[in-house]
Amino acid sequence: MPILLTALPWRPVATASIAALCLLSVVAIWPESGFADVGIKLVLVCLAAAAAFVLDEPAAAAVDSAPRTLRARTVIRLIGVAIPATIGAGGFMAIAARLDSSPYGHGPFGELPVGGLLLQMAGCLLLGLATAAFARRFIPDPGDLVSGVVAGGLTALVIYNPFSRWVDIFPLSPGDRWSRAVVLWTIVCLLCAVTLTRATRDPLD
Amino acid sequence: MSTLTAAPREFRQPTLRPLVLIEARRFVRHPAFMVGLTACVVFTAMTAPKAGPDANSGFLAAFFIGVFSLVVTYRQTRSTRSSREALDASPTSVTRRVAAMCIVCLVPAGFGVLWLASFYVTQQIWPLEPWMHGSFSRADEFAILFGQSVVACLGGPIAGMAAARWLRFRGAVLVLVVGTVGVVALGLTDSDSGAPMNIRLLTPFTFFTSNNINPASEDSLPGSPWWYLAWLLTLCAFGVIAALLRGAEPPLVRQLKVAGTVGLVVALSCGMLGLTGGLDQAMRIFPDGHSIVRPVR
Repeated sequence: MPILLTALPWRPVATASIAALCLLSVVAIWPESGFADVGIKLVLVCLAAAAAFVLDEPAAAAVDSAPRTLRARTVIRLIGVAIPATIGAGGFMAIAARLDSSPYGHGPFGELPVGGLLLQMAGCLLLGLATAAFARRFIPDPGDLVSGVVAGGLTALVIYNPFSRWVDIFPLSPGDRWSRAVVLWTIVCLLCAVTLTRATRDPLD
Repeated sequence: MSTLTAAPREFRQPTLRPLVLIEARRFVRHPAFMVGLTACVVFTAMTAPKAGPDANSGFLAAFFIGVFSLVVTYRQTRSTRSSREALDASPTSVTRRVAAMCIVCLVPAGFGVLWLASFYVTQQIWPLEPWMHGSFSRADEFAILFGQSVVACLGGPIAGMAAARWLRFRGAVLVLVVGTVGVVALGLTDSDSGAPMNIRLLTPFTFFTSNNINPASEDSLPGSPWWYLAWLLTLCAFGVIAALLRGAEPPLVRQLKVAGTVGLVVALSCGMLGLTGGLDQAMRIFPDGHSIVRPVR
């Protein structure tokens, strides 16, 4: 296990996590500002990108011949997701607490719905992981590619939601259409979990 | 006795043209660029008949062409790193290869020009009410749109190329994209809510108008569109200088440093004039034509 932990690409994971932390800090400084809305959504983008790096395995050719299944290696590598997940969850809770004690009342989105945000965060982390797991079947270190694709796609949805008529993809305020978003993110989580499970099967299974 | 003759000019100094053509072909065929361009076309087509074009539509071109091109030039510039030793032995210097990439950045800018042309065409089909132009003249509006589309489509890839030359850590492109979008969003934050409003005119993208659905009105935001455009162009020049500076030969380094210093002075001047020029406070214009100073919330 220590060897596998050494093999984790900590630097890119830390880079994306630090980017998320910086955004959370800005939101925490000005929680009532209009930036808080976009800032929190960009945090989710960074967390998804961080998760996409976790499964990078440059030495895959050597490790594949070791008597340890791909799924077992993947499960151990999931420890790397703990960093972005902790930063995200801790940051959202800290901002919610700060908003509660703010003399200006709540932010542009009203009370910060931490539960809903944690669901979105889980969806984003799983999306990064599942896409990386799928891509790893073709390339040993898909982190750069997958983080770019996932972060680019999610940032595009933050900036312009083409499905706004039907669903708010990143709802924040109580006035947003939460019910559909909860259904959407639950489906995303389930689909990504299935993809992750199937993509980490060993080829001979 | 054999006579040595000087090599023909084309053998001594390879021209940029083949390099530019190769890199431009790689750029246009990159999946990220194709996805961004398609998204820009589709979303522009979706929004035009619904809300009609307005002076804020430029974000579609800026993001889907400019930011996606940033990713493409970053990856394209980085892709030569693995074959650096072989490339160093070729008769083409690093500076020339970077210069070729700088010229390739005109490709997305060309698509930005096409977007701008399509904007004016659609404005002929779905014309705006006069009050929807805010306090800005048509020339000001052109400067705003030119900055939001063409210059953003030029600046994005230049920033990606400069970042690829200087930043070596993995995930740099993510930091660059999220940082750019974050800084722009921070700049657009409402001044009344405590965040720093002044940085709006120092970010690589901004709006000069904002729509209010209820009551129907148009806010014109402070700042000079023309000086802001000049600021954006100096940022592009800085990006080119920064990209060329890395790995350049000593005589060129000195020239680039001088150019950078002059550019810094010009950029700061343009930035200051952008901040102080134009409207000094936000104006709100109503459909009947009357305007008021935008109330502070």
